[in-house]
Amino acid sequence: MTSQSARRIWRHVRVPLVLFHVAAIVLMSTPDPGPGLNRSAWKNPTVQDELSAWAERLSGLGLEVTPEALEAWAWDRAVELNRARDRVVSPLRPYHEYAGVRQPWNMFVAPHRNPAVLGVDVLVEDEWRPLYRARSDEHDYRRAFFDHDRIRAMLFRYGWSSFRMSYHDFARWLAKQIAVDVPEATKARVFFSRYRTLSPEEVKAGEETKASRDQAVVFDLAPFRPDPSAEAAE
Amino acid sequence: MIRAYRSLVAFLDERERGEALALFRIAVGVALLVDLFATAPDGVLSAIWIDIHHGGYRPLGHGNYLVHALGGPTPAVVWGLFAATSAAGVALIVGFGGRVTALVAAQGLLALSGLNGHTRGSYDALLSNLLWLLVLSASTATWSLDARLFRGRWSTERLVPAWPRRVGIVQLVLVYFSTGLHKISAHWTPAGGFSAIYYILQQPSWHRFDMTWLAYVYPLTQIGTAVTWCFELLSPVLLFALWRERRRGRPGFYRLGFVMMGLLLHTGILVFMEVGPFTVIIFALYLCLFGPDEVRRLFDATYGLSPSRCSTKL
Repeated sequence: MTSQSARRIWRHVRVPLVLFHVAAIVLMSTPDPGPGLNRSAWKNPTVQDELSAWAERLSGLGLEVTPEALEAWAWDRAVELNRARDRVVSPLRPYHEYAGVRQPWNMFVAPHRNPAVLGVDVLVEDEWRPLYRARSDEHDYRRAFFDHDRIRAMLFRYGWSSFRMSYHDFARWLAKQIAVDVPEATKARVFFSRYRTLSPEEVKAGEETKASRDQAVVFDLAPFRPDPSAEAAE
Repeated sequence: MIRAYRSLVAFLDERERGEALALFRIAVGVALLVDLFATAPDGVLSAIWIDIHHGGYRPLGHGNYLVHALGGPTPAVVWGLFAATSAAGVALIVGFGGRVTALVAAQGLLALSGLNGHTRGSYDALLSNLLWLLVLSASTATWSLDARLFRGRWSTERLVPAWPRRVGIVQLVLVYFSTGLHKISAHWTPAGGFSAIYYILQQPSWHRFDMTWLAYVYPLTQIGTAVTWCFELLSPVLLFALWRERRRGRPGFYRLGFVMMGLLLHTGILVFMEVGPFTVIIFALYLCLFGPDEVRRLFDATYGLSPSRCSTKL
């Protein structure tokens, strides 16, 4: 086969290949309700606020609906959409996985009105002392680590109850680091502070956020430290 | 039908000089290094990409096919992948190794970023998409070590297929359109008073510094929200505008407006938010909007001479 005829064949072979790639990325970029299909996550005040806002707006337009009814309707539609989308994109999954052409563009879907920020306390001489507060210049234990965008993305997820197991793994790992870094501490307490962000009117009125603690876990640090008697024996 | 097919064959067969693609390759290489080297310090990499049995914070399983084949997410495997992917990033910048380098970089990034889904950002997916486009394209035809080694010149006039750069434009539109479709919160719409950007910037997870002062310029954030939402949902119009530019044979204002709007949006994100290397990566993708003639004209305007004219045969 001459190079010219090979080129002529390639011109035609290339058409379905390029179309396949474009079709794959277009289909994969369709809205994916999958990650949000979690009943407990829908009970979060931020999600409930969204449902109330839409129910109020729709009712104002003459489509009388309660937040509860809207939630039930939205859940059913999301499940249906997820099922239909799954059927379409499943055959393309190997291409997405091995070529790396995933299309997860669900960025800043909604503001989180009730964010959770991490806090860490240590027990020193029977007194709990703050060791880390998110974005604080005063209590800034491992601040560069916590400020990294991958860690912030992770902690944003762990603020949702559906990630409780992984949050506990992270809290235990953090306690191990504290056991080494803060030798005078006997216990570590890891928790989330949850608060409602202020509206512009509330900021102007001089109001302050009111935080409540959530998902607190306490670790005894002794088991995470090397045993001095074993070291002496060595 | 046959005429449409022939037009498509001819469209995909079009070739252009390689400067635009080369610039895209260099920008993607820089973005890859920014992504990787931002993750390495302060113990971040060891905590998130290494399995709990070797010092990481959670069980990571076997990883993808590559990590699994190499022995799982142990420190040796993860740091080895990090080194190989970084080396591929440098090779992309200098233009060494053709498509193989892009493939190594893409697979390395996929392996690493896929280890822990909880620490993954959309920028990882965007970057791996761009690397795959480089696998599909002849991006080292010019402004590359490959050109120097195989053709005796750093820059050549070799023609390359234009379609990978055009698929890059489709990718850019998809990013915006899809993210626009996902924004179903009332806060992005008139129903929520276009308050999304104000409230997103109150979230400590994303803002760069305290942003409560925005309450005093709230109407500006409402305008920002409305413009962002419309920009994203109307992004497919760009494809129509480019088709029109092609038919008329001269650059149009819509593309320029789109680029200006995108620059404004992402510069705002860069100044006020910490979202990792997303801005660098999306700017790399914006380069696909410029053809080789425009890239050369830009170099002419900046340096007086285009690199191709400066090149000497060695």
